[in-house]
Amino acid sequence: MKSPVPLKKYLTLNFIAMAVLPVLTIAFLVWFFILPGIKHRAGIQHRALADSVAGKISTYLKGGERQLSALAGYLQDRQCTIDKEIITLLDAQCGKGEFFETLFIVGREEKTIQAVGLPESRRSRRDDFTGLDFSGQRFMDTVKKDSRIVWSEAFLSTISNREAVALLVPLKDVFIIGEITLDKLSRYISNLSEESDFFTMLLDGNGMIVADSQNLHMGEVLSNDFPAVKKLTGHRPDTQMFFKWDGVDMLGTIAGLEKLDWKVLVAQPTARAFELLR
Amino acid sequence: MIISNTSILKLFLLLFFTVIVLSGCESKKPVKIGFITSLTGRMADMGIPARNAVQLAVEQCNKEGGIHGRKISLIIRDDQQDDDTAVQAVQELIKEEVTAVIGPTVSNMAIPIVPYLNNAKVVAISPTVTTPNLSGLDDYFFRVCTTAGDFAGFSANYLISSGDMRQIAVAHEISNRPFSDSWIKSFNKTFTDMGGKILSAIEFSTENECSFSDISSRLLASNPDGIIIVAAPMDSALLCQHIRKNNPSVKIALSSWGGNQRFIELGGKATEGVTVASSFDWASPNPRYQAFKKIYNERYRSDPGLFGLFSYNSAQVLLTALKAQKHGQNIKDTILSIGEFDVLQGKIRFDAFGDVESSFVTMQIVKNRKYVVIE
Repeated sequence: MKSPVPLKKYLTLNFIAMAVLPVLTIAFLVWFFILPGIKHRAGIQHRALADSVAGKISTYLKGGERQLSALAGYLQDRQCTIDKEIITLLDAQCGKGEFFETLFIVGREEKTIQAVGLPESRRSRRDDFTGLDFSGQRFMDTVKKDSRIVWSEAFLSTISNREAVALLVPLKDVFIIGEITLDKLSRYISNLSEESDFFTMLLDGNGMIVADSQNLHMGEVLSNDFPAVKKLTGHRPDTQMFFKWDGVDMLGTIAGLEKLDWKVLVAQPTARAFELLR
Repeated sequence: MIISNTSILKLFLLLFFTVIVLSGCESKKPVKIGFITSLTGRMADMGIPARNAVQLAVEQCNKEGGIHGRKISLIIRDDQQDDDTAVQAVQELIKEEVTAVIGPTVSNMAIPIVPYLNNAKVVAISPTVTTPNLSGLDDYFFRVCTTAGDFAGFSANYLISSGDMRQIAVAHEISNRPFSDSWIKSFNKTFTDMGGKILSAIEFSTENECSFSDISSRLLASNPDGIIIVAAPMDSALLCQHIRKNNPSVKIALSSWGGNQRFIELGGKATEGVTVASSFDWASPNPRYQAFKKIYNERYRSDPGLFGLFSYNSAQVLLTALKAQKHGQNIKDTILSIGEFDVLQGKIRFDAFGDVESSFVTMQIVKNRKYVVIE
């Protein structure tokens, strides 16, 4: 009996099926089983790293808060009389600038610098800063109506012109202000990210990169449509996201910092995260 | 329905080529643009708004589809106000095969890097480099601002004509000599030609741990009726505060280098009454400028100021040229053939050497912590 399908056509269809079916099967398995598995595993790894980095940064920053609170307590007891001893104490708190680059005592009303503590290398310039009018500094507005310890938005340091954030402790008549430069935070984060293919950044509530492990992007403000910025305002802070960074596709996870309105983003090139497939 | 072998083959080939074409679209290479500025050090207050504005311009262009469907990739480098770092940064950008460079933003960084850009035939469009040392050269360096001499001459003319200052002392920061030397030279010539007298001139360097209180005492020692400060905004502000502490009534004028919002922010009350010649109109009603200012403010929670505006203008010149570039035409020729560009506060026109032909300059005074045009 003659087949209704010509042999040539029959063979063509079969060859195409043989070529296409395995591809479709593999694609199906990869798409529905292997990829989600890898993504889940990478997610767990990223989340653990993000939480760990966030915890360490929280502890690091809390150290500064404790240091400044203790200083504030001491000044409160002395009713903020500025004398040589206080300046020596401020200098000692700055040390070599390991944490605070500068410590200021600024009057609440007139907003002039009453005393300044500097790291060793800058102490010869103390006279340049004592008595300066600080009223133009935008971050001074942060504590206008607030009476608790606050972190400022990023600004340019009065001392070094480097990008910095300030910790402000209001007392009855004065503020104690500690400046920490962002490159210091970036260096701290770089040391935490031991795996070289992981990229870590610290974002503030406005989407500004406060610090990054590559030490290349600090101070940049991410656009509102950047996935990590969308997540900042979301209800689920610990979520995964795909995004492009410096032209590279990345897989990242975001984790919140205790108390502060900052977030840690840990990311890895997707090519590395999914390298099992290669 | 019987499908013929040829139809199946055609269908298969069609699918195959569709996949190839689509994957080709996906892998369209981005257009790389380099950006070099000072993001750290004493000039960071110029570099940061410049970077923000250029990033904004690039993002807007990418949202609108990029350059003929190709996205723009911006590669940012910090010259750290150091010659060697700047040269290394430019070499990296050339190695990355950038189409063009925006920057640098300070004259002292332009001098060492422009020869490298010329050798590589890479166009650089600077927002704020005003040194005349790069004027009138047929090279790859363009700028969207006028030279330091124009501002200095205008400033000297105003100060003498208004009767504000006759006998002055000048403080001059030397880390940016390509700018400040030419500014001082033009200022002195006009000022003395018009009958003014320079009582003392003090050079200082912030790299050498100078003391502003000491400089201010030395400036006031000759009892001048006015003081000219030629320094970066941060140094101008700190020096201004010390001068005012010692003499609240002496008149102070700045070079165009020092007159941005950082000066007012750091100088506080001491900046009231300070004058500066500038080509930036802080209150420009131009709708394009107002729209840019609004977007910038929303994103960065600050004003773009002079450096943000000129950097955005530089980016606009480059992006316009990239869109207009014909096959086989280089960027330099494209910019020169377009000649006139619409920028945020009006139009600018390049001469054959890539310098801006003319620009308006106004005298401004700080009043209630804002720059107000007085002439």
